Amino acid sequence: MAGRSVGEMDKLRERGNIVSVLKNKRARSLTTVALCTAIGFGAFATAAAGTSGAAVQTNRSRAASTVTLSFWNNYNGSEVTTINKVIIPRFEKLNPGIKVNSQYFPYANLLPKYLAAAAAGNPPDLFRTDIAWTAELASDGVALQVNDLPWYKATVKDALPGPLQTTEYKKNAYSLPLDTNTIALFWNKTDFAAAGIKSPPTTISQLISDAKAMTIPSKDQYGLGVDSTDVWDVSPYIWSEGGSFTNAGYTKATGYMNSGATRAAVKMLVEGYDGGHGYIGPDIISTTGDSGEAEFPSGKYAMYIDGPWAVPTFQALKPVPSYGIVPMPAGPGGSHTPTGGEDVVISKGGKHLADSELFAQFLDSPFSQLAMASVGEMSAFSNDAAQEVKTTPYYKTFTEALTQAYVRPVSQYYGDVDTDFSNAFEAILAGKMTVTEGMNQAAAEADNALAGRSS
Amino acid sequence: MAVAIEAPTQARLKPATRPGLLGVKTWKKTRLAIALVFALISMGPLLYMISLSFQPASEIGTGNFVLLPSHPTIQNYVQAWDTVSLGRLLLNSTIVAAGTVVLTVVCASLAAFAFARYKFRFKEVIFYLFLASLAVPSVELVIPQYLLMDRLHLIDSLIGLILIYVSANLPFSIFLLRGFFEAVPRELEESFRLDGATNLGVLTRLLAPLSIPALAVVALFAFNAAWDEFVIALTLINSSSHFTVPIGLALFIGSHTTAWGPLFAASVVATVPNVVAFVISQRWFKSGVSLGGIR
Amino acid sequence: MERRSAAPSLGAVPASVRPARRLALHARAGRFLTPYLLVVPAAAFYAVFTIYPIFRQFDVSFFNWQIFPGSQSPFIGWSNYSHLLQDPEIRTAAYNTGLYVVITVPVQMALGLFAAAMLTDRLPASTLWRALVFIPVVTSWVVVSFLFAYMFSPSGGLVDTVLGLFAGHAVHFDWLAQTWSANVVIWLVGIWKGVGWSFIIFLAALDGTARDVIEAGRVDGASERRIWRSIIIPSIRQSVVFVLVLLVIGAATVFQSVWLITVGGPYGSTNVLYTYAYQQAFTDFAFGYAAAIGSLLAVVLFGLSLAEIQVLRPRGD
Repeated sequence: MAGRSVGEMDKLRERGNIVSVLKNKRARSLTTVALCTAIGFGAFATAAAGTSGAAVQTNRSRAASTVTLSFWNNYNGSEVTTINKVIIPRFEKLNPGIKVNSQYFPYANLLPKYLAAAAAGNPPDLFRTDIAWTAELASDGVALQVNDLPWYKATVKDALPGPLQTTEYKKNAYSLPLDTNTIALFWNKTDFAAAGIKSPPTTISQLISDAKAMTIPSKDQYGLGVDSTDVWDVSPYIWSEGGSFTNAGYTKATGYMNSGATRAAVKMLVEGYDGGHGYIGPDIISTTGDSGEAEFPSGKYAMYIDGPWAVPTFQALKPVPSYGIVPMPAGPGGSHTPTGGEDVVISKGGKHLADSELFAQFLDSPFSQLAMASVGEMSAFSNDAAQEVKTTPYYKTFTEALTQAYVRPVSQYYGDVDTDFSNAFEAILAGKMTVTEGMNQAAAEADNALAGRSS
Repeated sequence: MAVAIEAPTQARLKPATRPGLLGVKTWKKTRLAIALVFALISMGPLLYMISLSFQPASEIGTGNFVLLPSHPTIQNYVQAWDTVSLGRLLLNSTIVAAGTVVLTVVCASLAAFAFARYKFRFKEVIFYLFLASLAVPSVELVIPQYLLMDRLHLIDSLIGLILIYVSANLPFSIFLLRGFFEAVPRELEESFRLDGATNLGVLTRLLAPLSIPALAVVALFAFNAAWDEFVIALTLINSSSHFTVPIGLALFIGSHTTAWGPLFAASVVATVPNVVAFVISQRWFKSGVSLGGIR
Repeated sequence: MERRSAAPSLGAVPASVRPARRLALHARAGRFLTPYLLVVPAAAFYAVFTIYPIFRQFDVSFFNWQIFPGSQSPFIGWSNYSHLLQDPEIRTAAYNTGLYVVITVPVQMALGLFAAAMLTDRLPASTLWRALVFIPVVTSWVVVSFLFAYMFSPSGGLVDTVLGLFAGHAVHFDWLAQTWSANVVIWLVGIWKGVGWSFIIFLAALDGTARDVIEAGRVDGASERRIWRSIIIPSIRQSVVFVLVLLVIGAATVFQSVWLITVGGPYGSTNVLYTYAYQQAFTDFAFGYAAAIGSLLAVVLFGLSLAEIQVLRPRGD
């Protein structure tokens, strides 16, 4: 401490004296810290507990022999209102003693969330799953097998073929169809009128000639928009030509993905794209391109394929575009579009299986199906179609298309198959491979994928 | 030597006239312009986001570029507030962030003090053990942490989040604070001790007030980490009444369409606390970082 | 057991403070604080919520881990790791991760240093400029990812519109559809959000650089470049290393921006190591494999950090 002035020393000593005055509390100071931490913990515990009041009440009511089911989904907006204020209250009225708690989550991590809960042995009683996940959940043993249950046949009696197929895995059903959708051809009336074409195409050959007629390079206008090279966007063309992706059991792609019919359909699209100089717009090589956002409403694409969700978006534009919706034009294989939508899974590890089955059946009843249809989730049952269209007229074309809709390969390896196909198709479009080469490669890779060997 | 004579003279000049790093009038206008460019680029996207939050549904997400809305509306904010219960989200995030900040500051201070002022066995080993986890992002540990929380019955609880976040923030905080404490001159502490201060007294009465800058840095980073964390929150929280703000933001991304307007409105609301926390801590920030032993 | 660093100075204490010192001795004798006690709270948190999960993860990497109750998780030894070395998608992920590090880290540091040099005290409203430059750092990855995705969208996106102005015709370039352009967007997000951080650290370092030495050098007739090279740069060396280490770690472990903007797409071509691991865990249910990826990367980064910290630490405080 050499070099300090006397004044500084005094100041320090003064500070030190204050310390020594308080030094009686020294032993308590550690306790004070510990106490503060504990109080802090307590405060947050109370706060957190306060916000989980609902959970506390649930426990109480369970003690009074009421069961509460948890139903995880990714409903949003008006769907949440419908499930909470229309569907669930009615179910609870019809089933006193059972309460349902519908909990929504962002789509982004919905599946990981479900898996984490299942891993811990606490999955939700019911889970609204993307149809692409059912096969995985089935193969992992988390989804309850339902086709051997007494009520099953009656419940799915009128289910549409496409949605029903998405619930099946190895010849058994592991979920129930919940809602569905498909796509149809949107045509821009302004472009058609300008080209002098009176009505939209009903066959593939008409589609091609119309598209050619409405491709005007000087106006940066294309006759047809194909949103991507994904199976979802390309399948209408493949199936309508009579082609396919895999065999009926979803185990083999060779002989199907590279069949003559499939190759013919691919060839048609390649010629349509023509390296960027054809009648198919550039969106096809962009995997996230969305013709529905700008190109179709503005008339840059005269035609493109999309689902019913596009309609409310178009109606919100200023000015509202002039357009119509017709089924996918037919080819040698007919007119077929892919099935989308969701299924409902009953968790095998759930604690109230019987009650969960009741709620699942209720979700499939006309009451629930129509309620959801009125807010954008179309019914998965054919007998609801008429009523659906009455409530939401623009569903008409889609309900018709649903009766003919096919399913994409139902397999836990579907993702890889999709990638194999798209990559090859993109390479063909870019001129890197011929159609035959590309499809042969895609089929070989998909074979590997379906066998569980990642390629 | 000319240098030895000149330098002290220069050093005694008043700060206002002492030449800066690049010399007083060097490129002042240019530097101002560059500062402007940096500020513009930094704030540009955020200002655009604010503009987007006021754009009506007919302008946003429809494929037309609009810089400033012709008919600004607060509809997006109303919608955001209602559809995801933004108020509740803010409350939950505040609870989690506050808890994280307090616990991180307290635990990190104590530990850093121990590292800075004591010698004990395994000291450096334990220190490096803390630093080791910097290499592991929290998202990688989601499943083990979920299973752990399940066993502790802390699933779907904000406390569970706080515990994980505190643990994740400790390494950097301890590192920063240790450096800072070590930089405090020993003589100050010597006299404190000799006048009867206990070690904890030294900590709370000498080091703490002196290290408010570093504590502010630690608090700010802990706050941001807790406020912004998404993946773990989403995995651990099961009821919407416990959702935090980032989860709420992701809710606007639907499977078919995205509600851009409300999303950006909610984003603006979510960013305000970040900025406010920063402004509050900015006073002490710079000195805190420089004394944090980083130099 | 305690070793007080103050103890040796007892003999040198002047008489005037001895009475207080007796109190101090008394205080010390009654004290039960040990450094271990001080570390316990932090260590408790850390051990339970970080260390244990890390070890669990490491453990899992040696199994073909099935997470569902009732299913078997066969022990497969190093299989996951050997698969790692052969997996072509790992190469893509490692390549993207490496690119991200090599591009975003130097750019952030260079821009940060440049800005710090430019925005010194003598500028009017310098506090304001500094605050504005730092604000992106405190924003949330979630917010920023969605914002940038919107700005780079092909229809109505800010970037394409501006490009269109320059090009003279409408530009509808779909940034997120090609690997290279999607990567560019991801890099821009990382750089934009990170520059402010290195800026602040370099600012502090530059401000702390002994001004009299600089002035001496200037008076001595040294050129600006010489001053930078011989005086300024060496004194901020520690900051440079510090920033470098943390930025590299942060860049190698990037996750949220990639996940939210491209989800690793198109077709996994923009995957970085952690998004790939996450996908393996939650889309392909290969938890053991994902754990192997995470564990390996953690070990690599840990070793890297250790090396750098060794360089940083013993410079004297």
